[in-house]
Amino acid sequence: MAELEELVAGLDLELRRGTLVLCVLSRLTTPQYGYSLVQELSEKGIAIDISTLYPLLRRLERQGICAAEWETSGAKPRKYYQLTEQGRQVYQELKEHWQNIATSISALLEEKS
Amino acid sequence: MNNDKNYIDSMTTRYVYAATRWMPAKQRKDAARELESLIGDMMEERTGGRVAVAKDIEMVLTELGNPSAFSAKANGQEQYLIGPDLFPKYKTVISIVMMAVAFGITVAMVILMTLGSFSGIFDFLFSWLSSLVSAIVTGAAIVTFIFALAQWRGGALRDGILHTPWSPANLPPLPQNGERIPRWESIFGIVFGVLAMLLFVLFPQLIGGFFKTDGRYVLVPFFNLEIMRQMLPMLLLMFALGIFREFVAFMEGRYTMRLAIVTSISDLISMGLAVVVFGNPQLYSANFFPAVQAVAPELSEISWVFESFGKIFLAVFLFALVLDLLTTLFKALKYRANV
Repeated sequence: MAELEELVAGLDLELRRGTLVLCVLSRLTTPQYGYSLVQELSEKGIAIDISTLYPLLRRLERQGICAAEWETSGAKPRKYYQLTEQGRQVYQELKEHWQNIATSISALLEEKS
Repeated sequence: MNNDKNYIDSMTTRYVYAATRWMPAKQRKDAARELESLIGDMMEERTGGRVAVAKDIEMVLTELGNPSAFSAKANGQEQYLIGPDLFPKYKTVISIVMMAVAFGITVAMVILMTLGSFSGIFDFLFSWLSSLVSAIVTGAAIVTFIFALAQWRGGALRDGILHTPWSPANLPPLPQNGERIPRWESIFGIVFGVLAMLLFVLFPQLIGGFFKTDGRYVLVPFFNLEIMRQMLPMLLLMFALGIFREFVAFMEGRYTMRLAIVTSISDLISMGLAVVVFGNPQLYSANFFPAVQAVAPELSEISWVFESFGKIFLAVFLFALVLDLLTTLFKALKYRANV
């Protein structure tokens, strides 16, 4: 039984891993800092490890998908991330791809083989 | 209270240091500042306005998890020393190299032992083990370095190992009987090359003949050891080229144009080196032929053989190289027509 759970947990992790980027992109249409992202995502049922999110944000920044800026006027300095123009296009396209995938997979899962 | 604040600050600093230590220098400062700000946010969230205590920072850091995991992932999952596509070949090559090296060292040590070079079984075991370990580590390091370079730099080296860019058209045809290069043949070539290197580096004095004088067998070296030592770098380069050629043959597994090109270059350089090394009359020991004549005076009749031995030796050597070059080239061209 424990073995089955472990198997499912591993595959589940694999399944979620690729979708995290899309989830993060969907939140970056407005400026967000790391911790606010974690909170917002987890409120909406998407659990993401902080040690996964930060490297992901840095990678997106490096790829020019989002831009980051330090906001120092508040009580605490915070690094805010937001989609760039290119990032917006990427997000739009990925969103369409996701919707197609979701439709196809749902059809597969509902169909009796 | 003050103690708690100091503890929280110190733990935060330590965590941030541990988490960002192995990041690229460019990102480190920025990432550290961001992480500090994050820990601050998490502390605020946790305490909700009350004064933070030591326990809070411990809980927050526990939630953040192992800092080394944080920085490992921070480098991006795509960073490999040797990636999944190169790994299967790496594994095969490194095991072959390690086996070949271990075999070569063992053979060399057994030869040494039979020649009485060790004072006892422990001396033998110790020398064998230490040579074995250092040779295997060196071999493994060289292979790893080459593959890591292919991974890191990409380009022609990586493409060469992976046979990319790939299209169905360049799927290799199943090797025909004569076209396939058996693995053992290349491995034998590599082992032989390593043994030859060891022989020339460690015991050039053993290359010679045993002659019975005064009822005792005396080993007379064939080469002038002083000159041999001067020639050693060129000899080693020659063997290294040969080993490299066998290595390419092993990777290709059949006669290809690539192998033919590598063989041609390596053989042509070897020919040049052979002319310089073996064409030097001083390389041959002046004591060898007198020793032969002393035991077998009747051989004096064919003394011309001895006098021009260097030339004959060189000619045989060159002939072997030419033959190797031509067969490889011929087979590569012949089987190319079948593709």
